Amino acid sequence: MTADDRLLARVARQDRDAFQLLYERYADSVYRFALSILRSPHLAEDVLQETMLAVWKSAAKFQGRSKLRTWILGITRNQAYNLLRGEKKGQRMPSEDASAKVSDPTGSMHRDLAVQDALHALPEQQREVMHLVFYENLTVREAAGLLGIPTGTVKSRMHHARLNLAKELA
Amino acid sequence: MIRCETVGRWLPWYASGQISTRKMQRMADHIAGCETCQAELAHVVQLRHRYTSTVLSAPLPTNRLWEALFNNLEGVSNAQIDVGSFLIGLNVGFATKNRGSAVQGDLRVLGRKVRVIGKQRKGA
Repeated sequence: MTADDRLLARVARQDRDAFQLLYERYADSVYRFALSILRSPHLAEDVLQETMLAVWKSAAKFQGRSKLRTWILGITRNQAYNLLRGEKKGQRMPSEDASAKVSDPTGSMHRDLAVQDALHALPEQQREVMHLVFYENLTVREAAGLLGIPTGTVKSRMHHARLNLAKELA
Repeated sequence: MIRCETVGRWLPWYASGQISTRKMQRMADHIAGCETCQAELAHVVQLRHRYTSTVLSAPLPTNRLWEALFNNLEGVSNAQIDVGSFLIGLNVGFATKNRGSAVQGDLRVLGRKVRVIGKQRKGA
């Protein structure tokens, strides 16, 4: 049993201290993954809240078929796409959220913004694969399991994401 | 013999070390003798670095989010009375929880809260 498994078992028993530890361990990952899909800090915060509440309520249902991180990121993805579907039905549009652009006092802002703009131009499916592989360091199989697609599709999406990003940054 | 096309598809995982030792070795052998794949690997490594730098430069959510979340766990607030000012005050609330209901009260002194009715949560 891993440390994560033990932590989740405590959360399943409604241990709030354990839940706070889990939050501190995974909140950044959840928020950043949601932000990569939604491109809006406000909506990403909503997803963080909903994801963590879902983890609190369904911790006992975790069957250990995947790593805890992958399970939580899967919930994050579902929450983000639920929100995105709602947004597309006529509420706020995430791409209009100007605060998604980062202020950077270190002087590399123009470079970050170029990457952000290039990322925004990628299709959602390619953006999420790129995030899971480049930032979360998931294996092909883990990414495929999380996204519910074949491993070949993961590699193909990643390949196209790379090509498109390179084209945008050129 | 592994082909350039196959190596190219696996490069993002090669760059992060997220492949089997056997595949890693086969790819390393190919890349060592292939300038095209060396250039592509350098490109993937650079792209990965730029991506993670961009992700890490984004501001993170505030601690208030955790407070709001914790309040959600404590249940839905049905009634709340708050008297006093920032310097000193008392807040009493009635909330419905998953299993029943609860009354909570906090004494507030200079912005710090101390639970005086109900269970005090650690770290609060």
